[in-house]
Amino acid sequence: METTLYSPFVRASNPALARWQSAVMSVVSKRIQSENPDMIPHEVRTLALQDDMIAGTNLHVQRAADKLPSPTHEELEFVSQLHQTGASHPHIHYYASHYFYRQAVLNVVRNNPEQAGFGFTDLGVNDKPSSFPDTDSNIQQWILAGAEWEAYANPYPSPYIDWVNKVPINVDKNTFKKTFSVYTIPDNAKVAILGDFGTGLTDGILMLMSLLINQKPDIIIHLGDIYYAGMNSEVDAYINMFTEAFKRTGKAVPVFSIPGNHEYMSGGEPFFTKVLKMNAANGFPQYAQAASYFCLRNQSGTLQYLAMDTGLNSVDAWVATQLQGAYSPWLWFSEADWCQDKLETFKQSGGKTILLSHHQLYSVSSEINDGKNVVYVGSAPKSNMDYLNGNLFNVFSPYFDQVLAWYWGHEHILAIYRNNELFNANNIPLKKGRLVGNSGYEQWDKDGGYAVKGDRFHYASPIVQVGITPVNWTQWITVPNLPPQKVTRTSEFFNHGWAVLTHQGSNLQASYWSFPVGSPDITTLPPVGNVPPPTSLNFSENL
Amino acid sequence: MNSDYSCYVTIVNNTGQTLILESQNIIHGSYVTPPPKTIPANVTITFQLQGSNYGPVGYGGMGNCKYNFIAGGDKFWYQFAYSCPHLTNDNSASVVVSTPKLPVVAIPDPIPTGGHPVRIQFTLADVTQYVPQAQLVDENEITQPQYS
Repeated sequence: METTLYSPFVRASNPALARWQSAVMSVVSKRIQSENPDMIPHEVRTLALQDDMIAGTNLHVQRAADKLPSPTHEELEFVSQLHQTGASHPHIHYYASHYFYRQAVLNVVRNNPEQAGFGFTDLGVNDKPSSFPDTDSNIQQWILAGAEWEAYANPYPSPYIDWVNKVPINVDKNTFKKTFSVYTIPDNAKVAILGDFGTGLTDGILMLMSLLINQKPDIIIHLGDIYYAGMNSEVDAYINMFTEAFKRTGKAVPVFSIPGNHEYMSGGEPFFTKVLKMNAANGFPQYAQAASYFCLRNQSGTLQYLAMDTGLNSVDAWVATQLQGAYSPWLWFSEADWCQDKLETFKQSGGKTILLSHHQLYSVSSEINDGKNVVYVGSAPKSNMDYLNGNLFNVFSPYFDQVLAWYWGHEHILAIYRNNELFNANNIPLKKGRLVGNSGYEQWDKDGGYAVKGDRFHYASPIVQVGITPVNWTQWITVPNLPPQKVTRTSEFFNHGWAVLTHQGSNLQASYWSFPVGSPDITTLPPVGNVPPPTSLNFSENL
Repeated sequence: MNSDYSCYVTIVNNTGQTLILESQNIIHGSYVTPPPKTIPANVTITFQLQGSNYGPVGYGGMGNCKYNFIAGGDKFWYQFAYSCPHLTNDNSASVVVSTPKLPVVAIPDPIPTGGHPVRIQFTLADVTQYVPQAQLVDENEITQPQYS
């Protein structure tokens, strides 16, 4: 049996498994921190990526996502033999992850029988390998992870802030709607856009420092995703990435965030109680975020950044199988109304809008609406819907003539799509759809990247691609009839990056920058003077 | 624990007309908040059809209702159906109108076949431009004899 190689970065679309990753990361981080008390949390998290428990959990989660069968008795015996040698090995931890996750699920189901009907249906528990004594220190770590997961098992209730519920008594609802979560920014504000940034890893801080030092943005907008499940410790790590970069560069700027799907895998409470308070805590009380959606409007009223919360209806944190596969998330009714109000206001004034969301309006490679997972209500055209989010299209397409560009994340690359995309014979074309999802999540080049699966939507020609960075990391290999070995291997990851929107005279110019991936190779931060500049300018354009 | 197998149906009445409840049917479940008998113009309403019971043999909410208005002597209607079944069946929602001149936008559209409860909003567009104005505003005159 040979170890299947997976990236050290595996994400789960299943909320229960994502929370399991969070639980294991928490246990591993605490152990590493206790062994290295001088490390900052980000260095600990980065080092943890190479821990055998994390590697084993990644194998477990990836195999579950790939719907591979549960471990067989034969495999368990192999693990027992490995374990009896006293070695730590990802396969031991894979089976331990599998076993203790299921034990934790069973414990929850025993205490909450209702959950048996909510997706926890595959509960056949394999025998524990005979050589897994509970006194083993490794196994004790897994027991701790199981206990931590059980504490997470009932996610927080949705803390989503609906503007309708915030209307003060004696204030007209429509008047309130016009100003709720709307902020004024300077006419020439330079805005940086990040996507899928919330890893909490060291190279993310390094990238932020480079952005702050070299490009001096006035405002940063994050398009969402705090891994693995937006739990308290993970949200703390996300906020501290900015705090650490601000401290080290001596430059702090307002940060606006919308949630992705991962924040809601915990139910979302930490995002709402902590992330929304970032700006006030960093000395920008005028930019204290009121909701998970916002509008940044320039002083002249000619340009607005309109950011929406697509995460809310993308994940059902209660259900282990979430929304049964590919499904296009939708905006909460009142939020769709709030967004359209902002667009109607600008329609009358002639202002232009930049749309911002975590989820994509469309994709060339990621199936958004697997037909068997959705039911169409109205008479929207069914063709091409597998790769188009019809819910978002319905809300925003009437306003595409006043939209300069729509930026989204969710997929972990930079993509410049073909301009003036038409979705059907009658709609107004979208001038520019842009994917900036490569700011933090480490995307292994073996995991797809720029592959095209659908034939409806297209990259711009010539295609703009970010480069790759070779990263060294240690991993186990298992070859039949040979003892397991730990080796250093080099893997290639797509570079990180961001977009910057700058005013050049009367033009709004967008530039797209790359920065080398460092995790899990770089675990310590260099002095400020040694922070590298962006590796390259990938693309620039006038919006 | 989210064990709500309900349908929450919101209707945004932007038609400019008062809608009258013509019929309603429950296939499974019962109304916590029933569809109102009328929906005045420019009013938004929400009703909840809850599943009959929970657990492995329960049924989620499933039903339909029909609203109409009269203009120019003609009856225009919208028929809404909604379903949040338990276990094996899929969620669903639909709207059928008496004429294509009654635009309706649903959010979400499409809806996921899985996940509970079902929440759906139907926004009924202004129909003023589609229905003869004279007939709308002077309906009584039309029914009276005209002499020249």
